[in-house]
Amino acid sequence: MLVPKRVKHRKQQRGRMRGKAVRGTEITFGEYGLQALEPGWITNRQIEAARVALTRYIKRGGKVWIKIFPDKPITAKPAETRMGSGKGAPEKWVAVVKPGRIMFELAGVDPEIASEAMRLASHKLPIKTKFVTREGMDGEADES
Amino acid sequence: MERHSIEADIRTETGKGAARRLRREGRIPGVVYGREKKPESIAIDPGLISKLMHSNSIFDLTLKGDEEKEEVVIIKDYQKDVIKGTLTHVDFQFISMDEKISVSVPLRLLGTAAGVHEGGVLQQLMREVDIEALPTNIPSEIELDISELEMANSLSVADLETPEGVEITTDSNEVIVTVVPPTEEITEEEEEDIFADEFEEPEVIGEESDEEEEEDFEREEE
Repeated sequence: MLVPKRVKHRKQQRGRMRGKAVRGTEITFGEYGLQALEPGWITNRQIEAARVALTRYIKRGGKVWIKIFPDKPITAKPAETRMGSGKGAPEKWVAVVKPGRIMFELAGVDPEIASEAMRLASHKLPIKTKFVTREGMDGEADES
Repeated sequence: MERHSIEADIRTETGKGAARRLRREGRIPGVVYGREKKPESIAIDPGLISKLMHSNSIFDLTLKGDEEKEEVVIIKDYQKDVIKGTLTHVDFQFISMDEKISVSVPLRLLGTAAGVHEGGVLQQLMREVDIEALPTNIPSEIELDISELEMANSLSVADLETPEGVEITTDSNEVIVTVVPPTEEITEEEEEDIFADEFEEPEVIGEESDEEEEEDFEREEE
């Protein structure tokens, strides 16, 4: 699963997710993309699940790019622990995604297969997404 | 090279408030500059230009202000809404028909690569190439025959046939297209392995490991 190799700090503050994505909003490598329509935290497990769904549907052939990286550690306190005694231990890694961000890209398959593969992948993610193509960068909203 | 006529009003109001009012009316703000002329803020109807964004078309722009004037321009840059995909701002550049200009021209791949028949995936790394030419010589696209491209091979800018009167300014070593092996299918065992891992703690930059700390402590005691 995707995890940073080295980090500057073990724990981070939560931060805000205001506004739209300003980078990573164009399809750069492939022909098709899955675009975020809402802000959210995408965990490395969700990214992996979506990737597995994509590659499983397109079988052999095609190429997949993951354009987000989970570089934010999220901490949690153990269950049934009293409040206090400092911040919990890091538990998972997430990628901060804002509306407009292209999260996955796909190439080398037919548009119908790409659309279905992205639909299956979108069901593994906690946010609303849209299937987009390089030509025109438009498409149907695909809620998940 | 296609040539179109468009009209624009000179805009006196600037800033986000005025720009938003303009967009609500169905028009978009823009700017026109270049050739050491005075830059002008304009308001324009996005209808025609949104279809011609990538075409390198030349426009006869009629600027309507206190007095009407006609200028020859090209689209230099544009901004789009990241979700709706609608045009939000456009930059035009004044050009002269007898002076060379730098533009990006789309590449068109011809044929199916031999490597794709072997099961590879065609990966196009470059979709546009930078050229320098007179406005009348700008091609609408540059073609590249890829039918003999085999698996793990690539074609670069040096393999392009340059049309007459056009100079390609992109580095000739840059790769345009390559055929790569496809993504491997994931087996169920691999999938189990992927999700089996516990939380992994990465190394923290600048923080010494426990062993090193102990060594330091021992050294201090001595």
